[in-house]
Amino acid sequence: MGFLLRKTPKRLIAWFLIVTTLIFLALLFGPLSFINQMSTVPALTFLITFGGCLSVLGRWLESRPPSDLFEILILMGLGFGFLWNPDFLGLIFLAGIYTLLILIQSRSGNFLSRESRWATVLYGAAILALTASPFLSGTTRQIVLLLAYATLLPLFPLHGAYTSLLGSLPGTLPAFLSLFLPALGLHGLLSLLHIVSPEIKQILLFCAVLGILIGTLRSLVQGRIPHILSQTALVFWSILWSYLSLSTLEPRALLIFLSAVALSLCGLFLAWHGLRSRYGNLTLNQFSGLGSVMPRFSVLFSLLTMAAMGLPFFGVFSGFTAMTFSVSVYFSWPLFFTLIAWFFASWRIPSLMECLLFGKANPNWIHRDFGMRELTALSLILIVLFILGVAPHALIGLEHLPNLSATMVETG
Amino acid sequence: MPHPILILLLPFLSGLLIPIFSSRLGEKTAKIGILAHAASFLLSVFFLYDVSSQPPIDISFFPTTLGDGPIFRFGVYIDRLAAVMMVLITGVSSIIHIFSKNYLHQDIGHTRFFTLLSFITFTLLCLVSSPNLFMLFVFWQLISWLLYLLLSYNYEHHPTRRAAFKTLLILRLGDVAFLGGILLAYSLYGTLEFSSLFSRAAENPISLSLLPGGLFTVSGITATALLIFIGAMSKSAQFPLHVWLPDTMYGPTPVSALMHAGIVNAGGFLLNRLAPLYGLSPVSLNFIFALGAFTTFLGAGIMLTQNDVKKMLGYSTIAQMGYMIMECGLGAFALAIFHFIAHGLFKASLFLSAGSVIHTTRIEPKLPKPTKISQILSEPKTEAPFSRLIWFVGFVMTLILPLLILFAAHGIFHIPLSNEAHGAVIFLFFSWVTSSQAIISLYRMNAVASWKVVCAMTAALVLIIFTYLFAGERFTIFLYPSPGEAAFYFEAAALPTLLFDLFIIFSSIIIIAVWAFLYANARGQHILMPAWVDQVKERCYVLFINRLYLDLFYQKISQRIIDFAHKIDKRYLAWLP
Repeated sequence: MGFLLRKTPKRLIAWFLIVTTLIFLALLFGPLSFINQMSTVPALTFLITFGGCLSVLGRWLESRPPSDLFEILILMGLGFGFLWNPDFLGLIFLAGIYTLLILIQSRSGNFLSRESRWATVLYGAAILALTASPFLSGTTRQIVLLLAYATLLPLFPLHGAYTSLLGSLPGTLPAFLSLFLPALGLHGLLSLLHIVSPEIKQILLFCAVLGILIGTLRSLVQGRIPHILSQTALVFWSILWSYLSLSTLEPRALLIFLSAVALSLCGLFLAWHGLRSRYGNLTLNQFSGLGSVMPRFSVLFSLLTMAAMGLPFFGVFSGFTAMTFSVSVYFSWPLFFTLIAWFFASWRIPSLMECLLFGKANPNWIHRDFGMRELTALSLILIVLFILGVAPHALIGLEHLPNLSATMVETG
Repeated sequence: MPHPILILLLPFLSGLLIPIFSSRLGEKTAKIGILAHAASFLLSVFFLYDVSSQPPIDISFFPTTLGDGPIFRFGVYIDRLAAVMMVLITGVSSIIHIFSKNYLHQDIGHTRFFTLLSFITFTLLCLVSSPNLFMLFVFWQLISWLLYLLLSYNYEHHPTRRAAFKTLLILRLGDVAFLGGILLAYSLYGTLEFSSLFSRAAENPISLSLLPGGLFTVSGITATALLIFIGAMSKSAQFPLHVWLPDTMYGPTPVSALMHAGIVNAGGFLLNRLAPLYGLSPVSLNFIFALGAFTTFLGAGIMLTQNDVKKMLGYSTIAQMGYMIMECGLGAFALAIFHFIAHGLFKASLFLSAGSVIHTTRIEPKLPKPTKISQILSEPKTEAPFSRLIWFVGFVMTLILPLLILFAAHGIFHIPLSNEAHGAVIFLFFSWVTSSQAIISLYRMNAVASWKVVCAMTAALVLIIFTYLFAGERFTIFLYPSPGEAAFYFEAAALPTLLFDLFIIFSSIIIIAVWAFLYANARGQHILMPAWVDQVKERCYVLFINRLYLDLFYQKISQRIIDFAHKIDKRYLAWLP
């Protein structure tokens, strides 16, 4: 149906919006018996669907067909297939996702560009890993699957594909992928990590700390907004990895943190998409003074900044404190680096806001504030982030989550 | 009987309503803020009276469950300390609203200003009425953010933006340390509710080893207290985290007034709220005292070299906050509250007056008429008549008090106060410093010598001693009614006797030197000094006028970090996407 409407972008967006909303409502009110409810799957399914809705809603209307929306819907379908099938079939869907990502990256830019090479190499390796995993057993199988999932929920040094996708793809794909890929990654990891040996966890912890440091350093030196956001995303996900690698696994806290960070990144990328559509792919220093000419965008963006840098009453703060309070070690060295990263996030993200909103607006530009659809998308994100911050149990459905130390559920 | 939540809700509601009605009402929306804050102030006064005779008000609204982790409740806890703070906050905020209505007349961003002002008042009220450390920390962070937005009011002006961002960074640094302290407190004692935390900390002395192998151990309470104190340092502009305060003068004058009267007191309030915890850690109290003393010296020294009235007031605030922290470090927590209430009110009035004068001066096209003072200054200088008696009386009076302090400290005589000897000594000490400052200021103003001046000096001295000894003591009993509680803090903070004696003697020597200098100046004479003294004076002047080069130091550090990041990225990480 979308293909039939591809030549009328406005109707196409409306159609995709209807589809994603119907999926969301069906999940909300329809029977979910086919999903294993004693798991994190319902929450992740809603998160991906919500992300899809937002990506469609916040899409800038242009004259040519928005092909990224097709890709988003296809990815959503494949994602559901991975989440809902805890066996080999799920891995097939995951391989399909990797393949599609390689194609998307290659299509959007030069096939031999650095970003394309990163996506091709890492996702290609992940496909091989998934293909080989049914024939392996024990520690080898665990490592192979871990490497595959580390490309989804990015872990240094396998984060290259994720950051290159976010930094280079058009449309609202970066917004959707910033949320979609980590959600799938967490789903795979939660079923795997409690059977992984402590030695492997130490290596993962070390890589996570390196990811925090490198992401922090690189976010400080980047001059383009999508690159700043992708490196900041690496920092957040590395923090998540550091807690995944510790001995206690608290799925509720991890879900709150993942959902909040994913939605914050989605919102920031949607905001960037709106600015890019209006002004072009400019560097950060070329923007200034949008606060005086785009007041509605400014209010929402400043709230999004608050949410992303981990201020109360938004979900990133709640998730972060939930994770740190649930860990019984005090002043361990990962916590030290995490706090350093938290401080640098408070430096980089507000400085991003300051560059965009403060200063004098360029009088030679034609300024147009965000439209109703874009503002609605950002507002919905903020509302959900606020609920995650204040009453996360209202959204996550915490009472159905298992105690992972007692349950062993393996994917694939 | 009104519900105490109204005190918090009224400013919050005004913050919501002002932007909604601004397009219809224009500048009249300021009246919404004025009415809301005035009503909140009246309610605060009512509840201050209520909790003075009743137990504290403790209301829980909802528990929040962070995953499977601890449950923190959001609620309102109003004891005498919180009630006093609420009266101060709402009172100052109401005055600032009234002032700002005309100050921001026809200003484009007045809606944004009043909205943020209402929200920051709400946040401050929630901070002081927090029932646990977690909720306190939540609002603590929000204050940093809202202050940043308020200071960026004139965001088209580059120095304003730079100063506001510097403020945010330094406050966030304090927030990170504060969070570290909270995490440590929770992991050691399993709770963040104030009463449970204090009792568990007292019952479970835990030592932490900072290095592998059990090397360099520190008590858990001390580590927690010091980490949380770093948070207090950033808000209350203590060395070396004081550098943000003087640069905030680019912000609107009402914001400066609110900051100096309300926000910088947050650190002192935090120490007071956690007084039972600090009372268990004499090491942290001694450190706090030393840092406060240094900050006082630093703030006062830099203030003397400034020629901008708002910057002078800023450094004066740093010195006063150092003074307040010193009081906390000596266990005189209630005196610190008393001090910053008085300081807050007086400094707010100074800032509002200064702002008003600057504002009028900018728009007034005519030169001011010559006044008596300017006539005096323009006349040829003649030697001011002075009386040796005046000097002698002032000199003796300021030296009597340190003698009294030393006698009281060594138990030679007893001052009839409810507190133990330590408390009396502390009150005497601060009354001596304050009265010396007042009397020396009188002489610097070249007041005409007469018996009226002698009476004024004597009355000032008596008033100051009376205020510190009896009014301050009464206020201490009001805030800490439990018998022995205040005395416990004084004893915990007690310095070794020899050190305290040396401190008093050293301070006396400085005051004698100042007297000698002023006396010689008044007679038109100079005290002969070695050449190196002049060199030291010049170097000190250069150091202070450059604010100890700390701003430059921080600027260089941040630039070095960014340069280091670029270097590492280019050399080792260029291959990464």
